[in-house]
Amino acid sequence: MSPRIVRIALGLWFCAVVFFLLFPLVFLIPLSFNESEILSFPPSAWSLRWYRVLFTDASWSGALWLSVKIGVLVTILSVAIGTASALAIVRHRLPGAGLLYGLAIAPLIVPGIVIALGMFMLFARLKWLESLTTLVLAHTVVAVPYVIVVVSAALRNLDETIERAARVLGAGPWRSFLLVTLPALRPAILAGAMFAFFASFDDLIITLFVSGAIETLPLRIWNDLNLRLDPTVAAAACVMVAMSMVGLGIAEIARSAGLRRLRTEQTDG
Amino acid sequence: MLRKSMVAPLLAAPLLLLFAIFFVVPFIEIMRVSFAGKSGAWAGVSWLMSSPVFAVVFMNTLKLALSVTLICLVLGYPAACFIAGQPASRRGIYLALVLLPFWTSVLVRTYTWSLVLGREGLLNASLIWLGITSEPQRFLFTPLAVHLGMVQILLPVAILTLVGVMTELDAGLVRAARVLGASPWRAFWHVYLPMTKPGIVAAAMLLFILSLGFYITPALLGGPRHRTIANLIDLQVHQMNDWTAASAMALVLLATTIAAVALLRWLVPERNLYGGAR
Repeated sequence: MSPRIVRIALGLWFCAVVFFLLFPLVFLIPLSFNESEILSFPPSAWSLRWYRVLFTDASWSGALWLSVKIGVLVTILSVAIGTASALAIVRHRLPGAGLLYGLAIAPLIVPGIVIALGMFMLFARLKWLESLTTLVLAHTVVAVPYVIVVVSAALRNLDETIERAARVLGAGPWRSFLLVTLPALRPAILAGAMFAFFASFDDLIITLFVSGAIETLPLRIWNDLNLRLDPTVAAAACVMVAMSMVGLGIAEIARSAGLRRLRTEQTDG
Repeated sequence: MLRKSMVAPLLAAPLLLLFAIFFVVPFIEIMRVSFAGKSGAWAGVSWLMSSPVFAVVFMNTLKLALSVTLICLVLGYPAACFIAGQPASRRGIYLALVLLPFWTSVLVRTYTWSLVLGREGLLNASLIWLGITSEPQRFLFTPLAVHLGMVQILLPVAILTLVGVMTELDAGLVRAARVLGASPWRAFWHVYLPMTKPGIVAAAMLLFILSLGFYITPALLGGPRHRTIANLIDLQVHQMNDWTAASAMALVLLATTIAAVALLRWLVPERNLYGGAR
């Protein structure tokens, strides 16, 4: 076996894996532009019919906008809470910081169904179910770990002497944070925000247990899948794929911009 | 003026408050219902012991998690090798191809599989068009469907974790083995593979832990005959209204997860761990 053959074989293997990962998503696109009621392949005629239903039908467009609204609220809360606690864990040497970090990322490992069940039973007693506030805070629990992971990693890589220099030159702690630390963390915060938004926007399990009659987009899709196969689901799914592509793009651009800044700073000084 | 020692606790306070009410207390509630619920202490445990369904579903969940983990590692390892072997400037493009499905909602990905595997789906249409079968075959609601769905969802996690470890390796060691006369196969088997072992173990445990809690994919692609623990918990809550049984099962699921995490932390140094988790 020459190395060249090995390299070609690995390349072919990689192509097959990417095909397996992507073809169901690519296959979705023609189906969503299908005219007929039945999702058969190949589509008999093309139309924007199901997109029209998605954006005009009250139950579909309502669910979509509600999911976006909840996602934005969750993102704002997660970025604020997550960045603050990352600072406490990495910069301020809080006693028990390791334990706090462990607790903060626990929702990434604990099965969603366990978190959902606990919330459901507790909030049923407290009569907190079917409330938008509860749903937003519940989503924040599973969204905030992403912000903490990304931002605390960036903080660890950030050179503390720059902040100290700002302090020595007379900036107060608040000014040096705003003018030095925060700009350097911006790419990480933006990437964390994207992760947090999709943790909320894509969530089904927690919503299924605590939302009651509040119908988010994933819940709307879920309820539909258990009844009949409405082709609007295909259009909704396509919109969700497109949104995650945009989110991934923003996070990647932020990340590579952050890397580039780090590199130029290193070469400059 | 704020005292310096107060800054860190104040920064962490919102997180602690949120997690206390929305994470820790709900967990205590599960313990309370399962051990001190209306049906008396140990009612949850005795339900677990006496339920014939639980034992079967629990074993099925473990088996499913194990086989999905193994398939992901076998499929993912060569793909990760390929990405790690590319020059750093080109790696981003290949990683993006893996990241895109990774970023897409699990519900959407599962739904697309139900369209591919259904009676009128792409697979049946292709098989009939190719003349391999004349009648639509049943693919949906089989173990095959659940495996396909779960592997597609978890494979990116496997690849990203493995690439993270592989790109940190010292490629010079493999080159040294080759220069010293080892065949490519020997160099791979005795040098490269052992060096990637921490990554393999980390990926395996991560995949196993994540597979244990799967709910959407088994529900949509497996149907009632291929339930996991998560589906059974949902069934007990939403249809049987038996919160004690649901809580007891949640504790078993959690205990299994914690055991796997403990094993993982014991086997692998921390820095290799969360690199792949999104």
